[in-house]
Amino acid sequence: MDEQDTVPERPGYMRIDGIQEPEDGSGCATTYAWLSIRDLQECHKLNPWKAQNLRAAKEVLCSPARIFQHIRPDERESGWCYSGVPQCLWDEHGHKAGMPANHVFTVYLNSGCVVFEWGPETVDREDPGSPIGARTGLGTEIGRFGRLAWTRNP
Amino acid sequence: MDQEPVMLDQILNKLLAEPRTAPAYPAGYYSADGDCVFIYNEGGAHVRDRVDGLLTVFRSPENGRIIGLQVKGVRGLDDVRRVEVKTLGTAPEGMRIDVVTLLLRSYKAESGASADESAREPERTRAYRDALGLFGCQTLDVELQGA
Repeated sequence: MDEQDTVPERPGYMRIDGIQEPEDGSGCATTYAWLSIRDLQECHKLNPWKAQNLRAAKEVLCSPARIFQHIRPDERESGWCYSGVPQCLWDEHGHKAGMPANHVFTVYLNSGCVVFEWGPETVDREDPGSPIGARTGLGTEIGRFGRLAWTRNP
Repeated sequence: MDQEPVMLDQILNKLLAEPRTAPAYPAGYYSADGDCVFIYNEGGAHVRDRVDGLLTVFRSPENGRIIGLQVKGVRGLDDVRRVEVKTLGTAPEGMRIDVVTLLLRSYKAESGASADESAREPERTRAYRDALGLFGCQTLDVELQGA
């Protein structure tokens, strides 16, 4: 991916800077993601709680516990799932709210690093950094994802 | 930097400041970037409950009832949509999503998808049945953009 300072704007999308580079083993490199303005507006219209929790999504993108590749193994192009626990969630009025117990917050990106889905889901009992069904473990088969691309605590 | 990017917080604060009219639920939209349809019955807090590779339901964290869902892999499912052209205003082309067909197609496609999924079959069937009960009588207009 290009350096951030050479990235052009993309019509109809907003850029989310400073997210962790998914393929960087050190976990220090950053890159950017995109978000469709139209999707954000639709989301806000139908579920403002979810739209406001893009704040939590950004926090997880910038400081994930796990990053998985291949959201849909049957498809040619793979995407990314960032998983982690944000400091808080947000209510539909933009106020801080609690993160439900036994949950992680996941953010889904397509192969073009466009964010299209996010929210809390049940944590994997065997791995507090992963959503249920992920069965994480470096070098092992991943249940619902193709590959564990990065983990904070291997 | 070519241009100072608009900050996410700024956009979210702007959305909060604008008057919002609650939509007529259920309502949905198609995300071209995710190739998925989101359908909501209300606008509150929820947790994601992945049912299988194509369906995720959104449940209230308080009582577990379904308040929305995400169906993936919509592109190419010609039998679940009928393309129409909206003629009012400047609205772009739209498509009508037959939620029953969409859910049944997803249920069939994911039946026995993996050993892991098969172990959850009763739970999966229950989730589809609940989703059909909530949204199954609906045909939803969503924008075609990017489909």
